[in-house]
Amino acid sequence: MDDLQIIELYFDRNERAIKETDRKYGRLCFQVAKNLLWNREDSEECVNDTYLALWNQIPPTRPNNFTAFICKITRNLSLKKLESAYALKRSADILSLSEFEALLPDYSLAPDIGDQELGEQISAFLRSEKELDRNVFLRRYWFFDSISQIAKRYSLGENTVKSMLFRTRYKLREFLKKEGFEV
Amino acid sequence: MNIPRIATALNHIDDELVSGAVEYKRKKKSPWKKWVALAACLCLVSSLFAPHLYMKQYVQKNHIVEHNSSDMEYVTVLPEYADEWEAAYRIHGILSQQEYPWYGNCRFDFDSETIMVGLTEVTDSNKQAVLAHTADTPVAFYQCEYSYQYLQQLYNKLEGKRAELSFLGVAWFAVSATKNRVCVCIDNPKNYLAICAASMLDSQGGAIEFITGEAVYLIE
Repeated sequence: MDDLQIIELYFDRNERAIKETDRKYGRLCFQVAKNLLWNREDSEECVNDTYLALWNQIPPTRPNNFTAFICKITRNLSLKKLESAYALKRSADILSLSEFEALLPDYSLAPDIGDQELGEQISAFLRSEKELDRNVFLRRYWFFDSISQIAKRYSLGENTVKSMLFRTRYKLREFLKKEGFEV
Repeated sequence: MNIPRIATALNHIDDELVSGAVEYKRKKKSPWKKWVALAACLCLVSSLFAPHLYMKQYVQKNHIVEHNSSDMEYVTVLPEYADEWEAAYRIHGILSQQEYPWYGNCRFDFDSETIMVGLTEVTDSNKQAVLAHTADTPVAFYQCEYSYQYLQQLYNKLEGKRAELSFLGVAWFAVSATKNRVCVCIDNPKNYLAICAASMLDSQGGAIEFITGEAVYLIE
């Protein structure tokens, strides 16, 4: 079933919408959650919360890009769950959030700029990058895939992935500086 | 440990970028492409070298030899032989005008101190025809390989291709009555392309003597 049909099911308030969403996006959502939470139960709970959020948001929202829409909900819910001390303690060693810290750690820097605007700037930067570099970056920092997962997915060496990420991070940092962000 | 701000901000990136990362599959380089590229390189290299090897073989097979101009002996005309030297040139001038198909050359031989007339067919009638033009000057006859007429024709053929030969590295060419050859000066002894191009105009074969080195015009 394609995305438009699934969305129509939501609009019809048909419970089959959840079933079809799970069939098509269940694995993807679970992977996004699992990469962040590193816990099966928490991840499954996050996926279920995603379906609930979808049920509540559609209608009135009619997403243009259902894949991105659902992934964003899962990621957002997973990050919120991660903020709980218990989850952070468990995953701090696994996640490379420290890789981000050097870039823009918290709201003490560029406090006047909203996340939305920062997201737009990052989008502009990523669009200027090569397709492979961009997707390696997104797989790591958006989907939180491990280095080995990315290397396997794109048939690259782990060292190649690491150096690509380092290069893109450096370029993003320079880009944000140029755009007036104090990083 | 807090969630870094940028990780949160990333949730606001364009939907297309997110779905693009879900769908993106890196195009794997087909292994056969590598072999095709290698084969293409080999073809290119062999296509560059094959003509060179062919021409080298042609040169060796046809016994085409070249001389370095620095190794060649240049004859200094001594004053006591000046008259004989001049007489040989005069006779050559007359005989070449007659367009005898058997006349080769006329030169003064320093060893025998005799004016030598080269004929492709040394017959009594040909000798008589020559002697009719030499007046009282004593001459001797010998068998030579090429008629002056043929050498002149070969020269004209080379002249017709002067631009192409010059492009290929031929510095100059001239008929040498003394050597009974057409001398062709090339830029280097490995220039098989120039050697082949000039040699192919020589239908009898062997009538060209290739010279390399400094382009000193000392023929005739």
